[in-house]
Amino acid sequence: METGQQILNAISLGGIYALLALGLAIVFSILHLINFAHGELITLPAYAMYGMYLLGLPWVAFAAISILVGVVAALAMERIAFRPVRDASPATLLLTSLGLSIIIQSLLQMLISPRERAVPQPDWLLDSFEVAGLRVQAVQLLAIGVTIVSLVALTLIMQRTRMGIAMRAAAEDFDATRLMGISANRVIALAFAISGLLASLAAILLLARRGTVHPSMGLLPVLKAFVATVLGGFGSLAGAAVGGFLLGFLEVALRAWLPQDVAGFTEGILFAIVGFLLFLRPNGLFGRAEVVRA
Amino acid sequence: MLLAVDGLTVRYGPVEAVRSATLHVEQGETVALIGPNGAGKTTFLSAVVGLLSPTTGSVAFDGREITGMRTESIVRLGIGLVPEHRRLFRNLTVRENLEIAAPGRDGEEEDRERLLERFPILRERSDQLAGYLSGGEAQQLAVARALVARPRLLLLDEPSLGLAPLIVDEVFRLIGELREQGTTILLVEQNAYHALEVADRAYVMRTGELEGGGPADALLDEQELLRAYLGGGL
Amino acid sequence: MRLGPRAAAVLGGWGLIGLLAAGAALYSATGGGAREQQVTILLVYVVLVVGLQIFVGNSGVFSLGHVALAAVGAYTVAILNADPQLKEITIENAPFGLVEVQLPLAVAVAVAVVVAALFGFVSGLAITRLAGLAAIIVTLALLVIVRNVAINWDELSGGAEGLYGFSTIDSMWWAVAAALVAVTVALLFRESRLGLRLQASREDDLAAAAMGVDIRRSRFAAWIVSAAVAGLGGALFALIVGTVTPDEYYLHLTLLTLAMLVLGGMASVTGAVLGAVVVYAGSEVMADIGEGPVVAGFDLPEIVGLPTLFLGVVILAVMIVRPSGLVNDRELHHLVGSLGRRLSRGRPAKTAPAPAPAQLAERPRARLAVAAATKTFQGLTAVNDVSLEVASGEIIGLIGPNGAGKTTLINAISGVVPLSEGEITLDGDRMNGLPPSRVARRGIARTFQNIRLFGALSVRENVAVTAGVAGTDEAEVDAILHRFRLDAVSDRRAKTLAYGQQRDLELARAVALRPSVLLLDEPSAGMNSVETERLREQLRRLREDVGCGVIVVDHDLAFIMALCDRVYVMNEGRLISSGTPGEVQQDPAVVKAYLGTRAAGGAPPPPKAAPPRAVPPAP
Repeated sequence: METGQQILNAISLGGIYALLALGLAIVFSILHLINFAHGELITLPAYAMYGMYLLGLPWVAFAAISILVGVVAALAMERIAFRPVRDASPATLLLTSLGLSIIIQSLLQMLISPRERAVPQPDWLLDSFEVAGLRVQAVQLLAIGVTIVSLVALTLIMQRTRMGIAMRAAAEDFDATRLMGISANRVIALAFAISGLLASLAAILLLARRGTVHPSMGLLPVLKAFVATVLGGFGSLAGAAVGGFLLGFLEVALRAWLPQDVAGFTEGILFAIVGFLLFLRPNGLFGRAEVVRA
Repeated sequence: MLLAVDGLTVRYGPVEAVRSATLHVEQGETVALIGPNGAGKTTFLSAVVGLLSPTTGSVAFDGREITGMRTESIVRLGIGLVPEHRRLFRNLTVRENLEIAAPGRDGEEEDRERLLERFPILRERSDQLAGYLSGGEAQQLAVARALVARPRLLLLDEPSLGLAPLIVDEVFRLIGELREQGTTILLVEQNAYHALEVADRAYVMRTGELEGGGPADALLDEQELLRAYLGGGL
Repeated sequence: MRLGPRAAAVLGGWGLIGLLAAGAALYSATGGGAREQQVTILLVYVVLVVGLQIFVGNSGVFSLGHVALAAVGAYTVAILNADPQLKEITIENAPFGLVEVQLPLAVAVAVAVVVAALFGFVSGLAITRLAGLAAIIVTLALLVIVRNVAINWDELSGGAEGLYGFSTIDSMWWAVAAALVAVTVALLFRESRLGLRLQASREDDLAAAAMGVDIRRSRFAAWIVSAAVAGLGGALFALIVGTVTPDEYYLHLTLLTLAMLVLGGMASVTGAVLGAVVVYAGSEVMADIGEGPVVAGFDLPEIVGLPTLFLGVVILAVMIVRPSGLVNDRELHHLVGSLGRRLSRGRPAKTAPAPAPAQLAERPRARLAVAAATKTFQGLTAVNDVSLEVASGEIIGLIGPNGAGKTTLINAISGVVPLSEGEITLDGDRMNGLPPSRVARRGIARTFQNIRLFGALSVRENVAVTAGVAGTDEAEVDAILHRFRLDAVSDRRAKTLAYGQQRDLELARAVALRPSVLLLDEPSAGMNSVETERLREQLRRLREDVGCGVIVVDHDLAFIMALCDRVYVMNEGRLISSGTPGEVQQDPAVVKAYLGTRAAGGAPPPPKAAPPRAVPPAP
């Protein structure tokens, strides 16, 4: 496949990873929580779409409901699972999110089905057309479009609205933010809501690409999002977005350039590169923290 | 009494940083709390404003018990704190630092305008990141930020910290002006002379224990001060 | 009969496994083959979790990659032990002539352990440099990479279908033996000097480094040992299940073992074992319920995924209710010990009477020189051209108002922060630029402004960490504990001590390093006058008996002036005065720095609405 095609692929995949990484990073920057259950914020909206499909509703309804589900699930997570452990160590927070993730996955297994379920996507989404000699899939266009709109919207929120400014302030100095009379709970809830929104957008795009739902479908994406965020430098929103795109590019590049017989090693090589980069720069590419020598 | 603190004891880690402190501030007064470092003054203010929980004792604001309340709620009742080291949001612009402080009341736009007029240098630097302000400018921003919400009680934690002497003069002149306008102020300071000159009454804190509460002038004598700080003079 | 800590620990471990084995034998005796397989698998999980515990529990660094090391062990034993005829079918193109090789079972297992350890060596070179999030990701990378290679290098591994055709183990006693080995290794490591240093770094890495611990090397050693045990577990797992496939050694097993470790208490080997038993038993029960058994005549519906749900609930519940796990960091011999003590209330509490306190060793004479030290942080000059000196037997004070740069200077001397300019030498040897652990080993010890003890470790263990680094022997450790009046509490956890004793312990720990120079950062903070007086006496005696040089940073000026031979005064990063206490006290610059100046130059403050008073003459 030619380069233009690959670049398109990379941008659309990178965009999805960037959305996921941003969702993780927003919560981390304020709470220092790495939310492994972020994967379930992909799975639940996707299952909501499955439900809409079973009910015979149009795709637009799918999308709207799934976003709602994503936001509500995120808020519920915060209230039920994370508030009780709010001031705990990062390790405890991480494990809490792991436990939550497992619970949701197994409930989906038990209550719906442990097997993959097909969710047919509308025809227009699966179409592709020619633009300037490139074969562009509607899905890719949607992904790129959604990513751009989300990045712009997120930037506007963070820069122009009072709550956005409050979130940036909270990421820098949580107590000083409370001294401004801003409710800690509200800032945290908003961060989770945004993270749920971004995750559900990613879910819509991922579902369009794979066409099925499965209780563990969020696992690999959240791992990749995690990797992207750490690569970019945990705590930096811009870094998360860059990390996401970088990961997308790496993945597509590897798939394109590796000879067929070693194509299976893509995942391994990808993680090897990531490991190497982290080894060189343990705080990530944009990470700030001052490293104390041992 | 606008602020009444009674028998406050606060732990900071394994240490009892503040031991049974009692202090009050009347409406319209300026009260200074001076003392050497490590005495517990900042811990004291943190407890008043809800960032730390006291083990025993109580804090009342305008007759209302605020011990144990959340910081953001206490602030909304009308207490403003200019923290030690200012704690400005360095990655936010000057304007954003002020915007974030407004509690969303009506008239907050006018209040902010008023402050920008009062502190013209902030208007000039309105779109710069707060992290790049000089010491004096940063202190002005910190005070302005606390004033946006029109607090009834202003707490200042070591406003002269890290500032050059001429700037320190400026800062205390500002505090004097605020005092003239009738703002009730509790000023925590290491810089004893300046603090005592601008205050009506003064307390001294040494290793967690608070004493004093009499007129500030009485402590202006150098030997008295040294005795108060060191318990015996140099 | 008194047992040393190591013997007691290992005995406790054997007792634990013995109990487990007995229970397992009983269980399987009443149920036949399926039950025996259940308990054998449980014992293998014990090996895996204990292997994980060796690294995670002692270092406090989370690893998501141990299952990859187990996989290495599994594949090795499978390849080396499988029947060559079967290998002709499954991996006919295997490299290195592995198709023909068939080693006896015990040898294959031994080789598997060695290969896993080698993997540990190589992967450890990268992993142990990192901590926190970066470490978690890199261990995850290890997991993904190993599985990816296993799936794709099918000549060696049999690809996604995996391998079979090697011996299997029917009897649970091999697993019991492996569990005994694992537990012994883990307990010996935990009680070793290396283990102690690693635990210190887990409690407070900054303090551990400042006490001379080479954190990286300790982590590396733990990683390799833990890899070997993981490899053993993986090998056994393969031998019991009878096949090796890549997906078995991936996320599910990782989460399972992590949950087992966390439930029990990751800092304890006993906890690891307990966690494995509870989670596995619970899981099996859930699986049974999920099969829709007939209960009281009712046919319960089949539910899939119950064990996994159980796993998630366990993890969540533990984190919310008891994050440190069931037994926290206590081993069986601790638990039994306290029980024993409770049962024998009549007997006197402590052991033999304290021996006559040995003399604290004299330190070699030394001189620390700081020359023109400057430190800038992003435009802020915290320390500006400061020079000072201290020789053995001297006590010097470093004072100055808040923000003067004193702590930054101390941090620079102890290696926590590098200097921007200037030099620090100890007897002419350059010290600036060395990391804190090297500085400590050269003979500069310190305490911290906000006490950094190894909280969960006992008083004695805190001192033992530095004693081990400096080669100080047991007798001297006892003498130090006695000197600082800590012998009565020597077995209590450091974080349970009263504030004053915690300060004493910090001092004792620093003294055990046999320092030439001792840096004390605000030792009198939080003390009242009685305690301060006692501290002053303590430091004076230390100077007489031990002879090290001391730099004391403090705000209690009376304390400083009464204690120190010379005093340096800093303000705004610069040295503004130095000399004897008497000289410094008279220096107007010092008074001004501390008490502040009148409004000089600018307009006077607005007049107060109070009667005018006489303005005291300017100094």
